[in-house]
Parts: sequence; C-alpha cells; structure tokens
Amino acid sequence: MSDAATTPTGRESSGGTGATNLDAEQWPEAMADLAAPAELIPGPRTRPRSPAAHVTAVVVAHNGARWLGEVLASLRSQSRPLDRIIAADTGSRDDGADLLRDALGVGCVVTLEGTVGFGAAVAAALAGPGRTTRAADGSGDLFDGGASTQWLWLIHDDCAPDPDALAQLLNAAASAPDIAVAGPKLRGWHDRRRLLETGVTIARSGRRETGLEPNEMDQGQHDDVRDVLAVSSAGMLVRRDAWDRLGGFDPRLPLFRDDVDFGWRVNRAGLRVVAAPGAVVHHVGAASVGRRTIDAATRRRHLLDRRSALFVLLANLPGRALPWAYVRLTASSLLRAAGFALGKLPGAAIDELAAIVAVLTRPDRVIAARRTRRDDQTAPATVVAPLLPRRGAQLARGLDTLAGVFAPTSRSTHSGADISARGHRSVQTGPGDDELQDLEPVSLRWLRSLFNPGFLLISCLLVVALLAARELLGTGRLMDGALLPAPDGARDLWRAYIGTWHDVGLGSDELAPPYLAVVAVLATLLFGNAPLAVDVLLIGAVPLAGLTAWFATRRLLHSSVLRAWAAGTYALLPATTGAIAGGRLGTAVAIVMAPLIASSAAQALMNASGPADEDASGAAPRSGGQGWPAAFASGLFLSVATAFVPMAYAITVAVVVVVGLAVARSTGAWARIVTISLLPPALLLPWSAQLATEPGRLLLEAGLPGLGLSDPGLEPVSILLQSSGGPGSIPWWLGVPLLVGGLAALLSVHRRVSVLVGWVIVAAGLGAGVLISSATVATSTAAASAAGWPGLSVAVVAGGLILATAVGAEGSGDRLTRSDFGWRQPLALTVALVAAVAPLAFAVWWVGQGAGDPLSRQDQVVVPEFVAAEADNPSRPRTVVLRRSADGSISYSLLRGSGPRLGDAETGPATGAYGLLDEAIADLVSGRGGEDLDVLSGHAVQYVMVATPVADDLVASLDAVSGLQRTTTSGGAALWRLDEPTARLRLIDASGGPLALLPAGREGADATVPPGAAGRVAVLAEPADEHWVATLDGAEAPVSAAGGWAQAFEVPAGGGELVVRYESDSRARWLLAQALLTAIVLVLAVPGVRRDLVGP
Amino acid sequence: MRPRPSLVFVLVVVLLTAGLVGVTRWSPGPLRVGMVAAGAVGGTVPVSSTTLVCPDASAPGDAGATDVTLVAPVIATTSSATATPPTDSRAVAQPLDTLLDTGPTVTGSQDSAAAIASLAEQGLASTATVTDTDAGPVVVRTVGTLAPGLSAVQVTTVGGGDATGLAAAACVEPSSESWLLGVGTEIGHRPRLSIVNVEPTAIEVDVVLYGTEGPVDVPSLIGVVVPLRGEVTVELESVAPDLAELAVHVQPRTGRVVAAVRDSRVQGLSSLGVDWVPAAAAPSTRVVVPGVSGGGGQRLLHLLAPGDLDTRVGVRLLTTTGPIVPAGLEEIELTAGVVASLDLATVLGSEVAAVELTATEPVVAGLRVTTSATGAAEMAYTAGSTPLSGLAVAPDVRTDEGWTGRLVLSADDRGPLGEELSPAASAVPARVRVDYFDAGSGELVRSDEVEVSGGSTLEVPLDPAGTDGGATSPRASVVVTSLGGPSQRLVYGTLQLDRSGGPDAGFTIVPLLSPRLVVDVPAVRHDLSTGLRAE
Repeated sequence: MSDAATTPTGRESSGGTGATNLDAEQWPEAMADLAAPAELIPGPRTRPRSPAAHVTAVVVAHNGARWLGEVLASLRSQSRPLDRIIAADTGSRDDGADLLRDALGVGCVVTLEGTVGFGAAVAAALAGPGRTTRAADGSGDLFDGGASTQWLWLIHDDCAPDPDALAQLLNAAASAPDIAVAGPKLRGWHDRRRLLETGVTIARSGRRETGLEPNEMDQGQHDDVRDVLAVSSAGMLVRRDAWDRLGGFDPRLPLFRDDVDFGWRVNRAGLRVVAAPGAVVHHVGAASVGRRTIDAATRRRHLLDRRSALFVLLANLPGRALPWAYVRLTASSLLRAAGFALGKLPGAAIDELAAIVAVLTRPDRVIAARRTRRDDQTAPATVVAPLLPRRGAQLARGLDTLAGVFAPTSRSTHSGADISARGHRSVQTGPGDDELQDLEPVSLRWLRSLFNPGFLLISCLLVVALLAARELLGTGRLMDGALLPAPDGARDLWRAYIGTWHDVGLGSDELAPPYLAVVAVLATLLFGNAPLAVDVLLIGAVPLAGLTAWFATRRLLHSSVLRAWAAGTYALLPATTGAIAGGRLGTAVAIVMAPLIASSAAQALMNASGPADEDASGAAPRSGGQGWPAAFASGLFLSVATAFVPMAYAITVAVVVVVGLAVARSTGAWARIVTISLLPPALLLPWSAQLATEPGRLLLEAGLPGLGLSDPGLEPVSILLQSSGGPGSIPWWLGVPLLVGGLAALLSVHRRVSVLVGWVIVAAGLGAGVLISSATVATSTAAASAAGWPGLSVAVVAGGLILATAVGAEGSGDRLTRSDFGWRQPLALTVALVAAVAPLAFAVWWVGQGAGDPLSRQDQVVVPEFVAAEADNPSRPRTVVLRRSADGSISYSLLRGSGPRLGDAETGPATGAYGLLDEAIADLVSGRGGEDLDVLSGHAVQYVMVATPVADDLVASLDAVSGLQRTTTSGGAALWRLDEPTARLRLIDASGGPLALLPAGREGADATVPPGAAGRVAVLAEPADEHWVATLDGAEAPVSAAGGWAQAFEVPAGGGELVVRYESDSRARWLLAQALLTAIVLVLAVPGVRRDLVGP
Repeated sequence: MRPRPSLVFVLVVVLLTAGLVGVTRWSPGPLRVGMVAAGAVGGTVPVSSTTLVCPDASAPGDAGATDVTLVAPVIATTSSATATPPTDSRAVAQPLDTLLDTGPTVTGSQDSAAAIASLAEQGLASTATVTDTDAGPVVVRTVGTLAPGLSAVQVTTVGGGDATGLAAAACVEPSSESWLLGVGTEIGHRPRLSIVNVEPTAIEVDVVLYGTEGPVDVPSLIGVVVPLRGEVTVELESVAPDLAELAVHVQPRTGRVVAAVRDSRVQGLSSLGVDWVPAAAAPSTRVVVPGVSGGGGQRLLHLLAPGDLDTRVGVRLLTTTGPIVPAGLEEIELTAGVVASLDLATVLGSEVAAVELTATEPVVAGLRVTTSATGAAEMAYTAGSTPLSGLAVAPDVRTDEGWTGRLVLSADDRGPLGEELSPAASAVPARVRVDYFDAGSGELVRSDEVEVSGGSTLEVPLDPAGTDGGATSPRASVVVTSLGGPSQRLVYGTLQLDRSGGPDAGFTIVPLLSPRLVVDVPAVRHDLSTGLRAE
C-alpha cells in the first residue's frame, strides 16, 4: 500500500505476509522480541525485542445475548490465549448479563445503566468491581505492569474473532514500538466472506469511510498492514498506557465515531494506528445497521451519528481549518437535510438539522474537547492528513450513495422473485434479512446484468429499432407526417413555450402547448440538441416503451420470460411503429408513458386495499405507505402523456375510476384516485382550461393532422385487431394473436381480477378509439381536416390484452401440468404459441416495412437556404409558399424562417386570422386584379414560392404578375421576389405612402427614426394587439389606426429611437405557478428512500 | 375451493366487447372537431378591374383618324361575397404616356385630366377621336362596377399616305402570350409589331418569329425590354425580310403585355390596304377561324404547329349552307415550327365562311383576306378565335353614310365534348340575341334573335334603325349574346365593317371576343403544412 510505504517511519516490511509468518508455536519468541516501550515517542525504527504482552479483553454487551455465546467461545479459543477477560453489561434487557456472569464470573462483569456509552463502559470495566480475574495463564494481575506490555482488546457483544486474531493483532502491533492501536479486519457475521472494515477514517463531511465497496467480498485484496486513522472499536487492540494517557474514548461521544476520534487522537499523540488484516473478526455491526435499538444516548440514531461526526471533526481538525469546516459542515448539513426531505425522510432531515444546531449552539463543548486534546497533541497535524480520504473519493462515494437512494429496486432484476416487494422502509429487526448480504460483488453484478433478460430485451429492441429506422439516420431533421421539424436548440423550444407571442405565420398569442416544455426539458438534458430529443422520442420510442413496460411489470409478473414477452410485445405494437411512421410524436411519448402511469396507478390503488389481488402469489405489494408517492407519480406521468395526447387523460381516468370501484376499499384510495385525476389538469394549466372549453381538442394530439395520416373509414373491430389506420398499418391478421391471448386469459382461473382489469383497459381503449376514429379533426392552423387517429387507443387496447394474457398465463402453466390432461392443455399450448409469435411478427413486419414513410429525415425544410438566411436580416422578410391541392383549392403558408417548427401547429394563429392575405393570394393566383402585392408587402412578404410538385398554371399566373420577379428555382420549386423591398417594420407617411424600412428583431424592434414630416406612422407587420407597446426616445408612442390589421404607432416629426416590445406578464405568472406545482409534485412523487440506506 | 373458469364471466366480457363494437357500427354520423376556418371561399366573382390596351394607331406617313369607342354593357350584377367594388367607378381612356404611377385606381384628378374619353355608368358608350400621329397606344381602365364587360374598339380610317383603307382592332387585356399570324414581309409589306406594357415595372419579352423554313433566328428580339408603361415597336420587315408567311410569338418573361401587328401593304405606288392583325387563340388541337368574308380576293390561311411534333390538320369549312370538307384539302401535313399557308379562295368562292381545323397537335391559325370589292384594294385579318361565352360587344357600329356593318356568326356542330354528332343532331341551331344600344343615350333600341344552324355560318346585317326606326344616333353598340339552349352550340363571331366611297374606303374584320365578366377564384386557405408534405 502506498500509504504504508510513504509514512515517515517507513514500515514497508510490516506487510501482511510478514505478519502471518508467525504461527502459534513461535509465539513466545515473537513475544520476546517485543521491546518494552519505555517512552511513547516514536523513535528510530528498531526491531522490537522481547517483552511479554499482557492482553485484557474487554467485552461490552448490550442486548447481545443472541451472539454473546459465540463471542465468548471465540475468545476462549484464541491461539494466543487471553490473559484476562472482563466485561461490562450496559443494561441489557435480555439474558446477556447472565451469560457473561456465567462465563466470566460475577467479579469480572460490571453492570451498568443502559445509557452508558461504549467508552464509559470500557472505562467502568477496567475500573472493575473487584480484582477477581480469570486469567488464562494465571499470570499476574491487570495492574501488575512489570516488564510486560499491557494491551486491551475491546470486544463488542456481536463480534467474534477468529482463533488467531489476537495473535495476528499482537504481531502487527509489536512490529514497531510506536504502534499503539491495531485493528482487525472486520468481516460479516452471517456472510463470513463479506468485508466490513479494515480500518476507518472520517470524511470531511463527517461520514465514516471504510474505503470499501458496498458488499465487497474479502478476497485478500486489502491484506496488508497499513497505517490508518482509526480502527473500529470492535476487536481494537490498544496499548494500555496509550489508552490511559489519552483517557480512553471521549465520553462526549457515547456511541458513534468514538473509535474514529480515538484513532485520531492516537495519531496526533505521535503514536500509530494500524489495520492488521491478518486478524479477522466477524462482526454483526448491530448498532450501526439498526438491528437493535440504542439506549446509550437517545433513540435518534441518525441524530446521534451526525452529531458525533460533526463533533469529531470540529474537535480534531487543526485550528486553522476550523472556520472553513464550520461553514462547510453547516452548508452540507443543510443540503443533506434537503436531500432527506426530498426523499421523504423528514425524520432524518430533522436529525440532520438538529445535529448541526446542537453542534453550533454548543461551541463550549468543542472548545473543551479541543482543549483536552491539545495537551496530548505531540505530533503535527500533518501526520493525519494522508490518513483522511481524498476529496475526489468522497464525491464519487456521494454519487454512489445518491444512485443507491434513488434506485431502490435495482436488485429486483436478478434475484428472481420480487425482492423489491419487500419495499423496506421500516427498520427491520432480527436476522431475517440475511439475504441482503447474499449479494455479489459489484463487478460480478455488472457482468451478470448483461445477461439479465431485461437488458437483453432492451438491447434487442434497440437493434430492431435501428434496423427499422435505417433510412431515418443521418443528418437533417425528422419531419413529415404529423411531425414538424424540431428547431435548432432547446432554447427555441423554451422560447416557444415561455413566450406569450409567437412568431409563427401572421404572429399569434395562442397558448403554447405544454408538450413543448417536455420536449424542451429532454432537449436541455441532451445538451440543448432539440432535433436529437425528437429522434430519441420517436426512433427510441420502441426501446423506451419496452423499458417502461419491463419496469412496470416488475410487480405484476414473476416470470422473466413472461415479462420479456409482455414488454417486447408492448414495445413493438403496430400503434407505436405507426406513430413513428406517421411522425406522431405525441402518441409515441404517450405509449412510452402508459406503462408507468398504469403501474404507479396500480400501486396507488392497491396499497390502500392491502392484498387486493385474489391469490397469494405475491403480486400485491406487501408494504404500505408508497401509495401517495405512487399516486403523485402516476399523476405526473399522466400529465406528461396528456400534454402530448389529451385522450390519455380520459382513458386513464375512466380505467382508474372503474378499477377503483372494484378494488378501492378506503377513503385513502379514493383520495389517491382523485389526486391522479386532478393532477394533470392542475399541472397543465392554463392549457387544460382551454381544453375544457373546447372538448373537441381531446381528440387531437401534438402535431399537424393531415389527410393520408389516418383512415376515415376505420372499423371499430380493427381497433381490437391493432390496426389504427394511416401510415404503418398492419394487415388485420397480425393483430389476431394478441386478441386470442386476451380472450384465452379470460379462461384462466388465475388472478382473475388482474385479467379483468386488463379487459377494463381494453374497453376504455376501444371506446376512446371508436370515438376518435369516427371524428373528423382539424387544427386551427391546418386547412385540411382529417379523420382522427386512434393510435394511443389502439396501444391501450393492446396493453390491456397483453396484461390479461400475461397475468392469465402466469401460473397457468404450473396448474395445467399438475391437472389431468384434457382439452385445456392443448388449448393453452396453442394460445401460448400464437401469442408468442406476436412480438416476433410485429418486429419482422416493422423491420421489413422500415420505420419511415411519410416520416423522413431532410435537410431543407421548405424555403431555399438563402431565403431562410435572409429572414434573419433586420428587415425580417417573409415568404409565402403556395400549393394547389388535389381539389383545386390553393393552400399557402406564411413563413418567417425556413419553415414551420415543432409547436407551430399549436402556437400559430388560426387559419381564420389570415382573411386579408387570403384575398390577396386569391387575387394573385386568379389574376382578378387588385392591390394584391401591396397587401403582401404589408405583410412583410418578400418572396413567393410555389412548392413542389409545381402546378404549371400557378407558375404561369405568378409569372404574369408584374412586380414579381422570378428568381432561381431550387429543388423543383419556383420562387419569385417582390420588386418592392419590404420589411417587418416600415415607416409610412400620412397618406400611406412608404417612406422607409426600419430594422426589427424577431419579436421587438429597436430602430432609429430620422426626423421628417409630421403624421408619419411606423407600421409593424403584426396583428394589432394591445400588448404591443412602443416608445420613442423613452416616451410612449401613441397607437395609430393607420396600420389597418397591423399594429401601428404614430411617429412625431422629430423622430428618435423607436423601441417596440410585446409586453404581457400573465403568462409568466402561470408559468411560475406551473413550475412550482411541478416541483412540489416531483418531490411528492419521488418514492421514499429506503431507510436502511441512510446512515453512517 | 379450487377456482374454476367461469364461463359466465367469459361470456359477459365477450358480449360486452361485441356490444361495444356493435353499437359503434350504428353510431351517428361522424363528429366534426376542430376549428376549420373557411379562408377565402373560391368561386366566380365579377371582374373588379379591367385594363384594355388599344394599339398604337398612328403610323408615320399614314394620314388617318382613329375613333376609340368604349362601352360598358349592362351586366346583371351577381351577388358577390367578396370585396364590393367602389360604386362611383369610372372607365377612362387615356394615352399610355399619361398613365400615372398611382396604381390601378382611376379616380385621381390627374387621370381624369388626361382622359380622352370616359364612362360613368353601364350601358353608355363613349368615343374619342385621335388624330394625333404620335398619340401612342390608348389605355382604357376601370375598377369596380364598370369592369365586367368593359369593351373598347378602335377604328381607323386611313385616307392618305402609302396605304389607305379601314383598319380596326379590338382593345384587349394584356396577356402572357400572344400569337399573331397572317402577315408576310415581302417587298411592300410593312408589318409593325407593337408591344405595350401598362404595368409599373419594365418587362422583358421574348419575340420568336416563325417563317416558311422554321423559326427565324433574330437575337435582337430575345429579351426585348419594354419599359414600364411604355411601348416597343418592331419593324418586322427589317428584322426578318422576305418571308411570305410569318408567325409572331410574343411571350413576356414576367407580367403581361399587349402585342399587336399593324400591317400595311403597298405595291409600287398603289395601296394594297391596311389593317390590324388580331391575336390568334392559344395553340389548340381544335381551332375555328371565323369571319372569313366573301368577296373575290385571296383568303390566305396561315397555320403553325408551334410544338416539337409534326401534325396533320383536317380542314372543314362552315359555310352558310353547312359544313363542307374542301376537296384536296381534307388533311394537310404540318411540319412543326414551319408556317404553312393555304389559299381558300378557290374553294370558298365569294361565300362567307369559317374555317375549322382539327389537328393531332396544337396549332395556331390566322387568315388574311384581300379584296377590292369596295373599290381600292384592301385587306383584313382574322384569326383563330375563342367562342362566345355569354356576351360579346361590338362597340362601334356605324350607319353613317358609306358605312355598313354585319355580324358573321358561325356555330359549330360538335357535341359538348367536341365529339362528332349525327347530322340531325349536329344541325340543331344555336340561338343568338343581338341587342342594339344607342351610342348617345345608352338605351336599348332593338333586340333581334337569330338562329345559326350547327356547322354553318350566318351573316347578320346590322341595322340599328331597323324597320321601326328606333335609333336616333348614327352610331350604336351591339351586344351579341349566345343564348346557349339545349344544343350548347359554340358560337364564333366577327364584326365586319365596310366603308365605301372616299379615300379611306375599305373594310375590316374585328373578332368578337367575350370580355371576362367573372373570374374563377380558387379557394385559398392558410395551411401550415403547405410545402411540407407531398400529397
């Protein structure tokens, strides 16, 4: 170990091998080599010579009768016999004291109050009730120091040394004269190979650091003697003179950190503390893992622990480090308290705060402690520095812990039956939880996770998705179908969501849809890459749906194979692949969220009713208390899904209420149902209010509906058969296996309520699907109205069928093999085979068809590059894109940039707002004559474009318009430029004649208006709105009516600096409220932290 | 107790599902959700502005007087959902160079000051006489109620100079393409091409000439810049001399122009006549050239297949007695890009007729009539024409001393889709109403109804006074209305004016063109997805 090699005294030879060379026969010689340490100052390294060691074992017991017998037996069987054993019992309520008295004799046992701390108990034992000893060799008495070195061996009532433990310890301790303390290697009591400690230190946060991985196995990897800050008091061998000189453990530390503190003090006293891994002690560590209650000081174990930690640091850190330590510890305590509050462990949070308050308010205790320590400190503070943990290690450790806190179910994936169902929140007592120690080392666990069915499933789905999306990879952005291409960055998405006014088309103040915020959050997490966020949500929808389905079935299904089938089938649903093909971002996200909504809603409902399911197969979670977080989580997930597809809300509420009627038996459950139902409307305000006033929007989803993206004549039965119409539809027979499976599940006698819940979900999905597909929907921004697309409903139907099939299948196999052969077995086998085919068939179909069409990845959006670039000029020129539809009508789009972006479908102004422009375009293409180009100029239109496929007559009529100059055509489209230059902000004279073009920004404008005639008007090519405010040299410019539809301001003759802004703060208030509410719900939705993960 | 599958349970679920599916089969009609705004509703709306250009009548060396007559016929106003035009609309005629850069409105006082003729209400006619030799083209404009049907014609009498005679041209709207056929550039022929741009921007125009050997390469005519509100004239005999047959194709690269050719011919010192060449109908596989007048002279048909493919053209003559297929001319081969000519004098004799051409590829056609029936040698042009749709106006019909006018109406004998019909069916006549309006008072003085047998041509002498002597003014405007009827015959018409006596004796043919009364406006809607999806 490098630590050992670099210590000033250079003890590299005292490696573990050297220490273990000595066997029992060599003892006397070895002992003889030990030099009697006449003085405690570290001197030059001399080979210890001779002396006899006298070892007194001090056993401190507290309610440890369970282990005490073995402890005492192991003490007796030491290869280096103990010279003396004394014991202290601190108010045990079991028969521990009797055991000790029986084993050691009354005279060796001190009986103390239950509130006495460990250090005090040792001191009391040493003081002793009398002088009755039971020395193994009968040699001498405790206080007959003489030539032999006195050693104390501190033994807990739950630690059992291996037979050669003492010999090894003595050997290590004797290797140098300045070694005052030696500690054994602590291993697990039940799992005897599990490594608990080989020396400890204390982090700057106060955490007790062992430097080991959680659940690390002892494979000899730490077997060298090294200097450490401290060793555990369990099995600590300490030189008596050092113990006496330093006054033993600090009585201010009744239970925790006393050992660390002692070690620190020993080090500062110029002595050394070594870990001697050759000595093995098996330790339960009962107090620290909470297996027994603590009477020593207070029952607030966490408070005690933290207070001790803070105290040890403040008492021992060098004086110059003290101010910073105060600041740091206060801050970190507050942070930790916040973390515990977030993890819904208010008790721990309060302990945390109480600890820091206790330490801060009692500086006198620290001062006193430091004063007593100062006397002993003969070595400089720097001797301790290398023994404290490095800062980086501490951070890594913190991250590990955080991951552990928030992934309490990570172990469920490889231990077969649902360990997670144990849902530990309460501190368990007794050794019933010994399997907890039955965990592999981290490295092995990682390796094994590669072969975990869930991991394999998600990997396969990822490969399938990439294969299917082979033509959707590359550069450019996903678009087409219902999907508008994503903007460049998360900032654009946030701006679209946060802004009141949107620079879409004519300009509008429509409410931004909340799904933009969800995409924006994801894009922000992906380093601001908005197109990547859309890629992840769409192309990644299949693996993500598999992941959430896998996660959601963890409480539902025990068989990994069935879980993999259910998750895989759900992931590959034709509705999902259809949503991808059609660019239905909304449905894709909602399908990914649906399993999470369902599983958390189930948890919220089931918890209240106890074991709700009908048999004892363990599907119902046993633990209580997670119902409320589950309800909030369900509401949160539902809010996300609703933001994309409002119908998700209706379906979920219907299912939850119906299922609630069947299983909810407490008002608490109903309160949670109400919570789930109310959260999405509350979280999605004010958008949800708009939804309530226009219930038709319930049938819409994120994106642009369009002809060809849905099937107007969809049969209701095809919803049952997994065909949602539109792109990516499947032939009807591909949907049969699922339906067969779901129907067959009705025959199962197994967990019938779950099967029925599955069918309730089917019915809800079917109802919603029929409603949507019989409707004709249109958004306000698209001219065409098309049939509704029931993608999510179809997926919900499938989800219900999968649920019914999987639940029905689970256990049926066993039952059928047990029962007599009859019609059931062949039927079940057939159904199983048919159902098993479903995901494979879906996957093959999908990969064969490809994920795109109409979804595609393109570079250019609509207008040519140079026109899009010009849109950023200060004049902000716009483009009108025209196309003749199949029915002869003309559709056009007023574009401000390269083309519409994600969210524009919802934030754009309604089609009806374009009246004036409609007329002008009609004039333009019909040659009716009129002031069409003036109107276009008034809308800041500089370019007119006919989109591909180009209609020749349209080109001819535009060619014939004077004032339009044909410019380069790109990609088959035809482009014209208006001869007259125009701008978003123009200065006109009193009679409407153009005077000048002024620069403008995307939203506001800052322009210098030169002096000129009176009566001039600045016209902003945006719909007039009272929120537009202009100032001229700081003075508010009066609004003018001269702009007609457009916003106009009067400009005085003097001119000046014109500043135009859109001012509206009501949206900001809504957003603030929304952010706050979301944060609160997030906190409430985080599952409670397992209490056993908190602690020292 | 060991649970057993409950068939009742299964049955209930299956029945419920089936019921749900079944009920939805009988669900009421589809729901409509969403807010589809109408946008601009398509349909037909009255023309809201009309601009007509009368070509430059003045010609150096020719002493003539030009009467520009404009008429706003009474049009029953159809209710229009779209923009209501201003009610105080006026139509004015003014020289091109007085056109001010104030947009299409004609209410400005400066416009009025420059007006040489103006109209304030429907039914009236207004005539201005231009004698200035460099007056330039005259522009007739209106916005509003007078726009639908506004028609104008200019009639020029040339009594002195090299070529004398009667010339007339309908004032037409600018178009994005013009075909002019019938002229030649042999010695003594002086066809002058005039391109007028009334728009506020300069327009580049490509002029392509086709001769007997195919397209004539004249680089100077490619990209001719016509200045804003200006005119460009091209002496065709100097850029493409010595071509007996010439077809002119005028195509602006952007915008619209008016192109016209004024042809005058002399032989030695004697005049062979003067007239305007009307623009031919756009290339089509079926072309009718109406108004091939009688008389003894040459009736030279010029044909051009402007495409890339040779074609075969079937020729039929719609005569007063019915359709005939001239012997030897049943079918002629037409090489693409080469102008072919055909003299119909021998087959027609002195009969008035229309020529019907049926080709396998689109063709254009024009026809030159020369005669000396009215005294001095004179010529006139007609061309492939569009059928009357609704009404057509002959604004200036005179009954003064020496003037005679007549309509030559031809009805086709095809079915609604141009298909051949049985002789009985094809002979069903077309009904045409001829209304005479007094030029001064604008009153309807007479209304005749005539029938034109399918496949034949009818000559209708114009006599505003009629037997009951209704008209008080020597001038009238005639409105010809195709009444349609069950047969849905297409009617083609020309106005023919003769002037006898005097140095300016001559004759002219003016095609009857139906003015645009309404415009088909497509439904226009803003749609965010435009340009994003390929439908």
